[in-house]
Formats: sequence, structure tokens, C-alpha cells
Amino acid sequence: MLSNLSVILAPSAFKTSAPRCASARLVVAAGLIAGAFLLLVLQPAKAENAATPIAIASQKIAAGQMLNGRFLLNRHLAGFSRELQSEGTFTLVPDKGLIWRVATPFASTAAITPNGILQLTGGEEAMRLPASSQPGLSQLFTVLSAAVSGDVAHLEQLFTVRQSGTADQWKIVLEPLAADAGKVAQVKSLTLNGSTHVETADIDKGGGDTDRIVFSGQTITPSTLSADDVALLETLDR
Amino acid sequence: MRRRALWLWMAVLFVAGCYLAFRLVGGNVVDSNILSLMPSLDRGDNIQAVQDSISEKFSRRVIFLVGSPSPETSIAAAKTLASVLDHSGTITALTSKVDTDASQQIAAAYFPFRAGLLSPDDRTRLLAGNGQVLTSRALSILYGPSGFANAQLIERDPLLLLPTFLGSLPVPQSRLQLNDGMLTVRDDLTSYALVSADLAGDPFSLAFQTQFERVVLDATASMETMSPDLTILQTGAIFYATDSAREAMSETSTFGILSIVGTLLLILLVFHRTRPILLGLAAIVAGILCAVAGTLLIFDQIHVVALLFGSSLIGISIDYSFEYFCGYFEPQLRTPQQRLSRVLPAIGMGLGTTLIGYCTLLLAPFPGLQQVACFSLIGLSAAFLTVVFCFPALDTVGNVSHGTKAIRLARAHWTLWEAPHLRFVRIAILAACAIGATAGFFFLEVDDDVRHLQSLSPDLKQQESEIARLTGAGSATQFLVIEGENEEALLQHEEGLAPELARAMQDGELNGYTMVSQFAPSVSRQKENRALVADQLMAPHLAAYLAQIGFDGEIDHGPANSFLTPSDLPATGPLSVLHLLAQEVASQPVHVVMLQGLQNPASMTQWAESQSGVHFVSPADDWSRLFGTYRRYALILLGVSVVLMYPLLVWRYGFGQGFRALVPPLAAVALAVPLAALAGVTFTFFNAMALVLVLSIGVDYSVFCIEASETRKPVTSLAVALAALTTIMAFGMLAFSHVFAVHAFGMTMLIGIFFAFLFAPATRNARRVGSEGDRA
Repeated sequence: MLSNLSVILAPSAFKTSAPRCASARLVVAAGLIAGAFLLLVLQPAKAENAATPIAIASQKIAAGQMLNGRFLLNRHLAGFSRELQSEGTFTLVPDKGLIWRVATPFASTAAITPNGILQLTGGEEAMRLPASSQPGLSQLFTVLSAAVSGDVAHLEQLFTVRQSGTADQWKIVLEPLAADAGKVAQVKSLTLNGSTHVETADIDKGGGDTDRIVFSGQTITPSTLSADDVALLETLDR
Repeated sequence: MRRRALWLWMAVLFVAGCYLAFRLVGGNVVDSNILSLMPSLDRGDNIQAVQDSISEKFSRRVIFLVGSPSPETSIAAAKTLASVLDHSGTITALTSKVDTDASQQIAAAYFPFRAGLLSPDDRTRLLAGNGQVLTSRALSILYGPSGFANAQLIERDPLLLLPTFLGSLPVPQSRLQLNDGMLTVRDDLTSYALVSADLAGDPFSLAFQTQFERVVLDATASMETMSPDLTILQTGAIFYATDSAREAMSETSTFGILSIVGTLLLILLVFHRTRPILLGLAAIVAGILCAVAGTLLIFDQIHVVALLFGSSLIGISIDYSFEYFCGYFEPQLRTPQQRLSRVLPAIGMGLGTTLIGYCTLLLAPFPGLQQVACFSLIGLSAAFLTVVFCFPALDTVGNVSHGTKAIRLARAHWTLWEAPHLRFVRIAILAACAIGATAGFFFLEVDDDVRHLQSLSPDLKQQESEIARLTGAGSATQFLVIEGENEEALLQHEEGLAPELARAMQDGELNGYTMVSQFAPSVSRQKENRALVADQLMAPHLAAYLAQIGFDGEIDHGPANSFLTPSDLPATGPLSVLHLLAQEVASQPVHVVMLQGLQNPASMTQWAESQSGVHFVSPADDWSRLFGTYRRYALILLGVSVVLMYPLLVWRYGFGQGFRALVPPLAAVALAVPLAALAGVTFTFFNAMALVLVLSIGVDYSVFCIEASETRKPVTSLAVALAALTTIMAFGMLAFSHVFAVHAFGMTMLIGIFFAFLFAPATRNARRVGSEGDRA
């Protein structure tokens, strides 16, 4: 009854604790799930959250509104001689989806919704991963929208949340909760810094893989998606 | 002698009673599986074995969707349900359990062979020389927000071909997402969580149905105490089977009770005595007792449908009693013994012809019909013997002085057919029948579709379609079976069929298909893929791609000469469908291709038969075809009945009268068909079976009328009227059944018996009146 997409997580811990045999490493290497943001949560969560919430404007995106902005993503992968840098714009519609438009080095668009991931290159579908196909894929949207907007409320089941700083210059550090080392998340930690909006997001995927996203030009506007964008977000709903 | 026969018969009844009690206590006497009524479809053993194994696997699956406005509540409730089911011992496997170990196992199984695995789209692109697209895609994934890849993955699958292949595998349920270890789906305001399992017992066994039902009720109760506003949807063969069985059983008991009560009231009404009621009841009970005990002895289980038809036996077995009881109105018969000897030839002939009629049912190689025939033969014979042995000893009624009104009415029935001055009325009646029959023939429609014969509970059907809509799971009710010499040949054969199936999908004739080669391409295909990847993708594009992303490690493409075979794949979790698709029959590998949403079975059959080694199997259509064959068969049985009864009638009545004895029942049969059509009943196999019974019961009435002496005529037609009335009550009630097949049967019987009764006195040869006098 499950989908037949049997892609696995590549738990970072696995890399260190697994026996040094080819198959274990291959298993790890074959992991496809959004490395930075997925958590396999099969254990009950223990929330240890800071008592006083920090006021972040972009946390309060009302229904019928959307968050737009620009991003600069610097991805460092261990074993690669240079960083992968991409720039573009994003649009977040809370609870519906995130549209991520890469402008440089080449144009591509990704739509991430609770139903999965859709990636388009040159208007053609490059990758479609429905949420039913992988454990935890539906968490990706939750984590990404938290990273973009600063709204960590939905993540309290999955991560410990530590807030510090003031309302003008705050920092939130999220670390995954997982009792079982074999199923540890791809995300070793997620650090958000910002003032009225999230300014930077640092993701540590372990093993030397890190992402740093710098956001700018965020605005909250009434939700006026173009028909194409609406269709894009709904493609995965089927 | 008589007393000895009586005691012997009582002993037989006693033994039957004990055996029945013993079997009832032991349980498991009733069989509710519709399939055990059927003969085996003659498709060749391999195909039948595959079909049986698929039906069995599908019939064991149960699916629940637990819904609530809050996702957490629905998940918690679903987990409760899952754990209750798991601990109840009624299921073997919770198939909804999301097992990441299985996922990892499967990915690990595919990984060594990745060089030869391409998704269908990727393959098409490479065949068209369009490798650039794949490179762009890999880049957009690497640069995209999801950021899947890392050095180790790129080292082994630089262009991410394996993940794309894995993503292209046929997904049975595409709308579900994984959430907190459960598969969930959201529909507007309600969030559902899925629990599905394979049953441990036989969904068609009444005992297991009861057990499972109790488990589900307990689970539902505990879920609802936790959270009152849950919506629970369920589907599975076991729910339909439980519902049908319950409906059939309740109808059986309702009809049975109404029949008995109606019959006994009728006796009271006509004869004004209680002793006949007791005697009649004795005959009915003896009949049913022996029928059930005998059928259990021969068939080991009695089917629900046989019980349902058997309950209408009540209406027929009373016929012999009525012939006897009407002797109360004859003043010259003073002792019970005299009454019996008066009617013995009549009821003997009646029994004989009816037994011949039922025996023809035994000829059909149809286990269900054989059971019904066996039940009825034993039951009627037992009732007859009770009349013969017990009635004289137990009957204390002297003569009755009432009943003149009834007798006068009965005499009028004879007058209708014999009086010269009523000739015009007779012609009018016959003309009306002829017109009605002709009109009916225009409305006559034959419908063998097995889906129309069974009336499934609309509530269950609605839940099933809701579940299908919410999960996005299509249902595969038709499939192709492919035979071949070895696994590789089968896979290549499947790959040869794939283009035509894809074309059917594009044309909208087919929603989807699932085959083994989608999970494990043939070795020749894998070799082709390797060459394609090397020539169209790696050679022209790999270096530039690696330079762009800044990766300068060594690429490991995997072992050069190992190829994936289906046996390398663990058939667990998401790949458990492989159990159904790759089977072994008589140590030959056989593959099944599941077809979803096929619109045009006829053209698929044609195309499949044109390929060698491919068979198209559609169980529902096969059953419909079978019912069609047996419908025609039943009509032949009708002819056989007539032919077999005729010698018996000739032996007693001579050629002329013997033939005329058959005229009223045949007329009734000829009228029942079109008039039932006028009443909106399509002609099915069950109508045909009803006609066989109309004939044998109708002959009873004719025989009673022929055997009647001049003075006995009114009494006889009263007996016939009462017999017809009780038979109509018994079978007519079947016309109220919710099961269409039973309803059609009941309507046909109703109309047929009525006309058999109406025409019965017309059977007498006019020349016989007066000259041969009393024969009895």
C-alpha cells in the first residue's frame, strides 16, 4: 500500500557509526531526502522551548497574505572544490506552499508544499516527489517555511527551540529531537538570525555539509498569486 | 405393518434430529461464500490458480480511514485502532505500518544495479538524444532548496538517475502523506489517517466474520470515547460478506416465519380445527429437519442461499397435507385411513413428478444448485412420508360440516373450465394472457451481468468509493496473465506489451497498469540502458557537469556485469505488490499485469488473445458469461424435465391425458417469462431456475386435478387453491428480497404458480368425465 519510492534518509550519524563496508556507505549515499531539513520522527517529542516568544513580524502572516523576498543560497558540500551559489526570489503562502525561483546560475523553479516537491527547469518538470513516497517529506515544507518566516510554532514537536537576543536582534537555534541514533535527522542544527524578518538561516547537515541562506527584501502582501503559480502549487494535490 | 412403518419413520426423524443437534452445536454449518456456489471456471489450471490466489489476497485486505478535524486526533485514534487490531489476533500484518527499514532495504537492493536503471521518461529522453535535460535537472536539484545531494551520492550517481527511477515506480496510493508514522490525507476540513491490514482468517466464514466484527466494534467504541467526533470509513471484502450473510439469514428467518405462520393461519381459517395445524406443522418440521440434516451429511456445510431457497420449501411441502386435509370435506371418507388411501395416488404422482423436476437440478454441475436440489428432494420426500405414515395415526378429526362456501368457490373454478356457457369467458382469459404475453416479449431483456445480480449494501459501496477517492487508489479488477519459459522471457514479453498499454492510457481507455518489469527491467533492457547512459549522457555531458559543480572525485558507476533480477528485490513494504505480480504455478513462473480503470474489456480481450502466451482475465465478466451459459442450460433442463416426466404421466394416464397434464404448467411457464418482464424483471439465470420449479409444481396441480373423481372435484380444486396460495406466499415473499437474483426468482415463481393454479382444472380430458368415473 505504500508508495514504491523506497528512498531512504541518509542519517548523518550513520556515516560515523556505520561499519565501514561498501553497502552501508552506499545506503547512506543513496539517501535523497532533503538533507537539510528532514527529520524522521517516530519517537515522541519532548519540547524544551524558551518561555518568552520573540516578536518576529514575518511570523504573523495572516490568512490571505503571502511573504515575498530574495534569497542568496551558499551551499558547501564536503568533497566539492567550490561552493554552489544560487540567487533568486521566493514566495511563501502559509500552509499552502513555498515557491522558490532560482535566477542564477540558471533559471529553475521549485514548489514545496505539504504534498511534496515539484522542480521545474525551463518549464519542464525535472523532478516530482510526492509526499506519499518518502518518510518525512511532508515535514520539509514545515521546516522550510519556518526557516523563511521565522514561525517555529509547528516545529516544536520535532526540534528543541532555543531563543536568545532581543526583539531587534534575535537568534533561534533548533536542534532535532531523536532518541534513536540510527534515525537521526539530516539536520544537525538550524540557526536563524533576524530582526523584523529572518535575515540568515544556517543549516548544518553534518559531515561538513552546510547551507547558508541570506534573505533580503521581505514584504508581506495580500495573497495575489498568478494563475500559473496557483496551478504550480496545486499540481501536487492531484 | 402400518404401525411398524410409523415407528420406523419416527426413529428416522429422531436420528435426523440428533445429527442436526450435534452439527449445530459443533458450529460452522453455514457457508456464506458466494464462490462456493459456483462451478469452477474452466480457464485452464494455471490461469485459475493465479486468479484464485489474487482473489484470495485481495479479499483479505481491510482498509480503515479514521477522520477528524484535527490531524493529531485522527492519528492518535488510528494508532489505537491499529494496536487493537494487532493484538486481537484477527490480522496477520498491518500493511499501513510505515517501515523505514523496509525502505532502506529496498534502496540498498537496487543500488548496486543503478547503472542499468532508468525511469521511463529518462529513457525516452536519452533515446531522443536529449541528455542535456537530465544534466539541467541534476543541477537544479543540487542548487535547489531541497538540496538532496552530497559528495557521496554524486560520487556514485552523479546525475541522480537512481532517485528518479525510484520515483517513477508505480505508486498505488498517491494522495497519502506520511505524518508521524501514519499515512494521512487531508480532505477540506477533515484529516484522515489510514490503517490497513491483511486478515488472518477466511473473510467468508461466518465464525471469523463475527469475531472480526466484534473486534472492530470494540475498537470503534474505544476510539469514540477518546474523541466523539470521529468519522470512520472502512472497506474490505469481509464487510460486504458479513452484510450479505446477515441480510440473507435475516431474510431467511423472516420469510420462513411468515411462511409458516401464514400457512397455519390458512389451515385454521379453512378447516376450523387445530389438529390439522399440528399435522401440517409436523409435516413441515419433519421436512425441514430431514432436509437440513441430509444436506449437511452430504455436503458438510449448507450454503446460505440454499437455506434461503429451502425456506420456501415450506410452501411446497404443505401441498400433500392439503390434499389430505381436504378429505375432511368429503362425508364418505370417515376414517383417516380412508382419507389417505383416497389421496395417495394423487400425492404419490405429485411427489414423483416434483422429484423428477428437482433431479434435473442435480444434473447441473453447479454446487449451489445441487445443494438446493438435494435439500428439496429430501425435504419433500420427508414431508410426504410424514403424511403417509403419521397422519392416519395422529388424525382425530371426524367429518366437518362447514366449508360449503369454500367448496362452492372451488367448484366455480371447475365450472370456469368445463361449463359450455362460459366458453366466451375462457376465450377472453386466454386472449388477455396472449396479449399480455406478447406485450411482455417486447420488454423482455436478458441480463447476465453478475454485478446486477447481487445487491451490495449502498452504504458500504459509498464508503468504498470515498476511500478510493481520498487515497487515490484505483482498483484493479482485471488483469493479464503472462506465461513464459523463464523470468527473462517474461520480462521481455512485458516490455513488448508496454507500448500498447501506454497508448491505451493516452487514449483514455486505461487509467494505469502495474507489471513486474516496471520494478525490475529485463536484463536486455538494463544492458541497453547502460549503453544509452554511457553514450548519450556520460560521454558528452559528465565532465562539464562535474566542472560546473566543482566536484573532482572519481565516479564509481557500480559493478559492470551484474544485473538486477526480480528475486533481488525484497517483496516487503512498498514492493509487497510483487507477491501478486510474480507468481509461480506448477513450478513455472507466471506474471500478472494489473490493469486499472479499463474501459473496454472487449478490445483488450481481442488484443490479448492475439499475443501468444497472454490471457486477459476479468473475473466479473467471466462470472457473467458463466451465468449466461447456465441460463441457457436451465432452459434445456426445462425441456429435459418435460421429457422425463412424460413417461410417468403416460404410465398412469395414457398418452392423451398424459400430455394434457403438462399443458397448464407449460402455459404457466410460457406466461411467466413475458409477464415478469412487464413487471420490470430482467431475465436471468435465476428466472430460468424458477421456471423449472414452476413446471414441477404446476404438474402437481394438474395431477391432483386429473386424479379427482367427479364428486371429489371441488375438494381437489380447493386443495390446489390452498396449495397454490401457500406456495405463492412462500415464494412470493422472495420477490420482496433485496437481492436482485432472489427477487427475480420470486417474481417468476409468483406469476408462474398463479397461472399454473388457474389453468389446472383445464387439464382434464373432457371425454374422461363421466365415462371412467371414480378412479381413486
